[in-house]
Amino acid sequence: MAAAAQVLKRKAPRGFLRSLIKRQKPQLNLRSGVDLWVHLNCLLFLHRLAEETRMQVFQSKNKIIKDKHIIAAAKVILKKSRG
Amino acid sequence: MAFVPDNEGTTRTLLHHVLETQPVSSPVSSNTRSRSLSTSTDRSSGSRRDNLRRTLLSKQAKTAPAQPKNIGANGQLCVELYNILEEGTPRTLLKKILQTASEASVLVPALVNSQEPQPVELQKESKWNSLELQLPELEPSVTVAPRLLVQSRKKRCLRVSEFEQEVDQGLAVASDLTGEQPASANKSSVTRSFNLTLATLMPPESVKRPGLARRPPTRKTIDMEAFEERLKDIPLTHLSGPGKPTKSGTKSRSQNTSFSASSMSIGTRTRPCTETPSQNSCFSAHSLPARSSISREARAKSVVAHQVEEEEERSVDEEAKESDEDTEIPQRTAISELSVKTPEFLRAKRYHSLSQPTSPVPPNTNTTRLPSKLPQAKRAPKRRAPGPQQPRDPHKAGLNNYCKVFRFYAKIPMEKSASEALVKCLDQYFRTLCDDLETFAHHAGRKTVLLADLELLMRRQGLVTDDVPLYVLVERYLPLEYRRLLIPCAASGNSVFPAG
Repeated sequence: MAAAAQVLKRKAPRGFLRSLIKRQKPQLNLRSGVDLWVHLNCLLFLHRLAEETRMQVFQSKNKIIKDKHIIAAAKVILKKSRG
Repeated sequence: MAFVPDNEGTTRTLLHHVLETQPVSSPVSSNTRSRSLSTSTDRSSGSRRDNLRRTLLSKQAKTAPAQPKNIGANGQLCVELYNILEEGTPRTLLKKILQTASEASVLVPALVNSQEPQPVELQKESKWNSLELQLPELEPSVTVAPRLLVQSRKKRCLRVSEFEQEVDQGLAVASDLTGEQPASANKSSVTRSFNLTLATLMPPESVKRPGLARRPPTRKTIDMEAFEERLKDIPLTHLSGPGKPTKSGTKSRSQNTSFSASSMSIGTRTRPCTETPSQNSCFSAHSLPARSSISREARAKSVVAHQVEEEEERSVDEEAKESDEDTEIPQRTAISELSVKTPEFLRAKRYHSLSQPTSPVPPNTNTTRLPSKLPQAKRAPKRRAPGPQQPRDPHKAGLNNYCKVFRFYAKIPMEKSASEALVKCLDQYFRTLCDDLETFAHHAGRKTVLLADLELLMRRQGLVTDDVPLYVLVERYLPLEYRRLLIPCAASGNSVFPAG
């Protein structure tokens, strides 16, 4: 993430997140700052997923991420992120 | 101050005396030296002073290159002065040294201090003036303590000149300064300081400005001319100078990239063609249609354009790339026909940031062939694009955002199939997320999701523990600007922002 003076280079896609949640759960309202926290949650999820994927890749002695690695990693992480 | 007239003589004479009597050594022992020197300087009579001024200056000039030594000598002198004239302690002297050193140029730290508190202020003023490039302001300040200013300025100038030029020149300057009147001397010194400040100011300004400012526009024109010269039989009707709007330039660039992409099948030479035109576009705008046609023609002409373009490429590539990347994003929204096609092309082929927009127009004979091929090539990627439009495109675009984040975190190259699997995972994740949030809100008897719900979710996920509070995660993973929004801070007046 580049530190930007005025323009944020890694912006949280707030509009996208709000529309996503609205599409899924139209009856649900979102507080104003909540979508940023959702974005944080996504980043953390991706981070954990990436870590797990890398572990899978190294275990299979590959050097490129393949979909089977991701799927195997996602199984673990999604279970963790169930809440 | 009453000391003003005395200071001038004393500082110089003291300096001179010091330089003459004692060898300049490290400035560390300024305190001890100052005391010893003060005693010795006390003995020196005022009669010496006037005579020694010029020699002092010259000596200063000579010794200036050895800056630490000078500082030491000056520090000693300053200390002496203080001991003699006022109650100034070495500590205050050093303080002033620090003050002035930071303000003024590095070259003239101590001499400035040697004057007195007034000189410090004057120097500040002078510095301000130099920075603001205002001579008239200097003069009133000069009148306050002209001699002091002169001394400070002269010394400053001396140092500067010495730094910049050889010692001889510095001596000449010193001699000139002594002969001149204070105002003129100040002016000259000020101008020199101006030059200095200007010199120092230039690079940071150039660094601050992104892209365009750095790239010398002259390059473009030269290349253009070279191109035109080389490609004599190319009707450069469309090509104009670099004065075209950047937008069109970038678009032409994108077009060029797309064209190049299409031409990839044809040959590799297209790239240089596109690059060269993009170069021009980088700097200024070029008419889109002109560019596109030109680029087409350029591609048509492989042989001639190739060589020229390659040359342009190299020169412009680096520059263009940065600007291209910046401009590419806004450029994606195509305007004209070509531009419409190019973005899709780009997406299909993953635009290469090419530099050049307009390359020398290739001969018309080949144009007939290529344009027919190019639109076909363009249409091919276009067919891909139409698909499930609304529900998918913005959705996928947003998800692609997160795919990029994943790639950044993973640091290992990914396959295409893996990215699709990632999209599926993200979809699933978002679904569970929404469900959880709704459950939590409902559990609390609310219909709105609050921050507390999310915190609870993160806690259950194991992201937030007693060791790792919520705000630490904010600091780690989010850009700095979000901290203010997300982390409540206590402000004055019993208020917390953002309001919980």
